[in-house]
Amino acid sequence: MLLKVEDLNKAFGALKAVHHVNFEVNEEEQVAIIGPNGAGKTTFFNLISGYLPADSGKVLFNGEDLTRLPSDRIIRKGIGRSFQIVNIYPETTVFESIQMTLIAARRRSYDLFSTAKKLFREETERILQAVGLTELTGVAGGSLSHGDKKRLEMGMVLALKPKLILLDEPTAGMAPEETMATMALVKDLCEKERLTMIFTEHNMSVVFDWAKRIAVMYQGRIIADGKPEEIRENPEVRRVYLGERR
Amino acid sequence: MAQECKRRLTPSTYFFIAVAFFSVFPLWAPVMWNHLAAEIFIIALFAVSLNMILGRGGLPSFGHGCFYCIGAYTIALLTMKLRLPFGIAVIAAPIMAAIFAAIIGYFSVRLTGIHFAILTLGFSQLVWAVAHKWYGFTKGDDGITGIPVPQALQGIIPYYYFVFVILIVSLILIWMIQNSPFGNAIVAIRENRERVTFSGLKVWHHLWLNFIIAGFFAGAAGSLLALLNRAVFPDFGYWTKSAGVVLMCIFGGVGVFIGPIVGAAIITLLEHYISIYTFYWQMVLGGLIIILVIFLPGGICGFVQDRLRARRE
Repeated sequence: MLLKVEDLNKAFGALKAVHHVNFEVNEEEQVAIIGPNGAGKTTFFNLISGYLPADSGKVLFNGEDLTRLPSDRIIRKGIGRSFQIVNIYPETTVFESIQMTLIAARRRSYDLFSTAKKLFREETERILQAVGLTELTGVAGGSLSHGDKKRLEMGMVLALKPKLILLDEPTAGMAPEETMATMALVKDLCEKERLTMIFTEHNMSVVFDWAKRIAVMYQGRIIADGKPEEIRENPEVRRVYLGERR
Repeated sequence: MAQECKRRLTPSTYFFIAVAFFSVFPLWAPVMWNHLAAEIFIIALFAVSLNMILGRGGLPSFGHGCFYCIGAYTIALLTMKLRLPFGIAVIAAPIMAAIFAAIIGYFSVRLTGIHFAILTLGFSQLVWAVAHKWYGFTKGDDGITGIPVPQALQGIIPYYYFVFVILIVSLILIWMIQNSPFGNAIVAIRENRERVTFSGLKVWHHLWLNFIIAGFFAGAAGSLLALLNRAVFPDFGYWTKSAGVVLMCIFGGVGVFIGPIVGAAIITLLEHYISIYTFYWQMVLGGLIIILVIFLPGGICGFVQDRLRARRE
């Protein structure tokens, strides 16, 4: 088992954002966490990646307790994440953004005298190809379209070669065509690179097409976890989520 | 093709032209110009060191003068109180500044923006207060005069070359650091701390090391000024010194490597020449700064760079 979350809790005042959550992910598994806005999906990611401290509970990764570690340590243990609101270097070019992430991932950031530009060029090209940004290498991150920013961020996450990837709403704010293209990319990457991934999504239709396992979050709890068919049939899910949409 | 070639050669070509020019400068320039040029070299190094924090790191330090001051006082106290050899004192000055930068930076670099500015300012005022008030140790506001300089460096021309060589070596080192993986990490931190953290880097460790390196070079500049004037005064570390060098960086352009050098040269020359004609030279400077900030927010070099880029495209 790669990730094991035990009785994780986080409250903001009276709001129980993450409430007694137990969750497990095996290697090479891809799990979609769905739930309406405000269900606690992003908070859950923030707790796993150390962005926020948990009130109680444990996050075990490869059997190691990550719960009290700072984010940078957690990332070095092999977790990469993207953010719901895109999080890139606005003035750095696409190429250099990936290159910088590789420098960080390979622990070369204390190297004072090499020329940064010459490092990891081939790998950068390979990652840009994987996320479909080869045409835009010289463009500053901030000038990209929304969809391309998301691709760039995904490329930066891939550059870390994480054992576990957390994608927070990879299709947030995208037009339908862009959403389909992005999900196709994610699916393609998962198959080619044999990634272990958890991603969140509030739009169920996007997920049902290809996720093999779906967990449903509602009011801070995971109320269902299983194969898409099971989720579709689950009466509680139908009541709080599907019912709400129909 | 020819244009392509010319474009590729530009930065290093200009660098060699500048080195060649200033290598022969003392052969024809009057003595006073040599003195002024040496002073500009020193202030330029000071400004470039600040720009490692200000321009590259995006942290507005208003206390950089204190490392300049520490470098200057270290050389004065070591050669005059402890009577240490010149060579040791010259090496010890930037190291002492770096040690102080390590202490001050440890507390400062975790902050950003105005909080960083105020904390660096506060620390530098502490250092200034020691230099200004502690008569037994620093001779207070009388300063320390009569710093001994070896026979070989006593004329202005040999000293000019001494400063020039240290400046060139320092600039090459700073240039290398800025283009290294570490230098890129500093820029990445300026652009998006969160992304850097989530790339697995300890942000404040990098900013701390950057602060220490900047302190080292500021200390070197301060010690060179002490030797040029054969004297040190507490106002080397007063906050106006720190603010002045921030102005030089902004004036020349914080986004370009030579920006702080150009800013240091222009402001030092203005200070020198306008003050011959009027007592109110600061008014001229103030007016220039207002015009610059409004019309050329990227500084002089930022403006020139944008123009060149626009023309190329």
